[in-house]
Amino acid sequence: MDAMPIRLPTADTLVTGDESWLMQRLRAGDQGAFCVLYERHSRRIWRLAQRVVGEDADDLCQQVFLQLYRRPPTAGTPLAPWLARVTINLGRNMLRSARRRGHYRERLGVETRGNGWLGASPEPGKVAESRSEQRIVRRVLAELPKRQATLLLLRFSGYRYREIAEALGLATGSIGTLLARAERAFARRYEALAERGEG
Amino acid sequence: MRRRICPDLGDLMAYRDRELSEDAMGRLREHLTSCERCQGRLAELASQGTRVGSTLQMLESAPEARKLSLSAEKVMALAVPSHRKENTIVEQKRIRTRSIWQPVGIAAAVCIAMVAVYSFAPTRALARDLLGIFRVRKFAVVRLDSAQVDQFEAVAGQVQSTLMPEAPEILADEPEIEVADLEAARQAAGFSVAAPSYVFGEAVEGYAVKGRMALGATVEREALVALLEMADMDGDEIPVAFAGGSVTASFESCVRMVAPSWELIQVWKPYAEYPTGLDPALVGEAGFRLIGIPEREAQRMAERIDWATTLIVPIPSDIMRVTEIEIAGSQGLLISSKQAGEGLGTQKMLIWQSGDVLYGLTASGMGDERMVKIAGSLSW
Repeated sequence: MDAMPIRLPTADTLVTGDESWLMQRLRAGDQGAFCVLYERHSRRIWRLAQRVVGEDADDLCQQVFLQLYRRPPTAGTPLAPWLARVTINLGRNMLRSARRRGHYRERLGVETRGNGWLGASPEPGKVAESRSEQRIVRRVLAELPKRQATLLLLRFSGYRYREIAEALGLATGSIGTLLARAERAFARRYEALAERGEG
Repeated sequence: MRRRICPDLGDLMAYRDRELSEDAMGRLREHLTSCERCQGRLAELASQGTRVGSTLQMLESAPEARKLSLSAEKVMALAVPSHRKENTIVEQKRIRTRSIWQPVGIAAAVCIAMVAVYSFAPTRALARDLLGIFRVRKFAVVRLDSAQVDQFEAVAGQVQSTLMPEAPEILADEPEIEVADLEAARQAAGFSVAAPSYVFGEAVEGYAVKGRMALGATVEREALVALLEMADMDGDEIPVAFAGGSVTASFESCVRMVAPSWELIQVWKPYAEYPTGLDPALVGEAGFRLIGIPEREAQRMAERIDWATTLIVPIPSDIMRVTEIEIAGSQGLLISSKQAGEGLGTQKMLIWQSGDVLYGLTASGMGDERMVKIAGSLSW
């Protein structure tokens, strides 16, 4: 048998393996690499986006992956935390503009959707119970310090401590403590609001 | 040995969330067995985590009902800046490949659009599966010498029957209709049909418009594995997760403009769609190897091709000649027979692409310069 030649990364690698190689390909403009990365990360990012901006999750996802496609992170940047950070940041921007839009809509008498954890704008008229609960959750998140809210969103969207640390520029060893405090702060605030039936 | 020092809050959280190393998990577990206080702390953290988690889950509105409607292709389509969309020359790569190209009237238009999928099926059809959608943005010529053509002939039938045992299904095949003039052609075709202003005084004799055409075929994982093995490659390189899927090729409409000595075909949106999850370069490499291109070269070529946008044009180099030509800023290929009077006779074909339209100009006994002039004089 002849000696095996040097091989390109295989299809298996594409599906399960080396992300830095895929990122290298992406930076070189390889659309295939982008597709694989998208398949790998989109579901998770979408879940996070849902928590951040609610019904506008698709739009947020689109912005996040557009940014990845157009301006991928530099070599050596772990992708998952980078995507999470971009999702949170772009989500905040979206909510800010949604709030501004909401403000004008309200003035014009148009119903707002009250989306997103920073949105927390009161939704006029009759709302479903779940929508009302969602609103309370978002209001609580909006009232927490940003870092705590982000920690909770990332953790409960399935991010590992290492990734959260990377996304927020913190030490991995500090995540447990910070997360515990964030959970406690959230739980207290949520219970207080829910008891009062505020949203 | 009992540990007197209790873990801090962060460690307990990391234990709860299984974020500690196995060793650390083991040590903490051991501590917990003998420390009621920490058991209580952990239980409290666990209950807090469950409460917060389920509360935050409310933000996920009807998770089962909803799913991400975005796709990688959509993102890329949004992302591609206009200069990359339109400039087909910049990334042109020269390569060589297989299969015999036969221009025959309207079939030539179909052939141009579908060559990647059906004429060139064995290598190419399966090859770009990762990309989801194939749009012709540039061409890559693959020149085959006679030995490679022979080799291809020898394996083509087998490859074809392996990959697509059943004939492609016709999903749409709107009839070709004759129309009176350019305006009628534009209306019937639904896109901005071009007409040449430089025609040597020849009047266009007729216009024909064919509506949407789409073909579909199913490709199984096993077939791809077999293809790779035929090419002496490792079939296991096809991801286990890839279960196969359907390949469809389509165009929205096609206009044929006939003059005494030339014919212009315009194919609107010649796309192919593929199942996702497969490395196109891998299957492309198999195709190249099957036609006798050496392993290294096949690998290099397959890797260099942008499988999402490059239409492979196989040219048997002993009987056909191909020249790259620029047509109004786009890359074009002028293909002609080397053996006048035989087979293709003196027929020539010039193909190029602009926007979402693929153009093919065929002529018999016409000089290259004239053909290029006609092609360059198109206006909309």
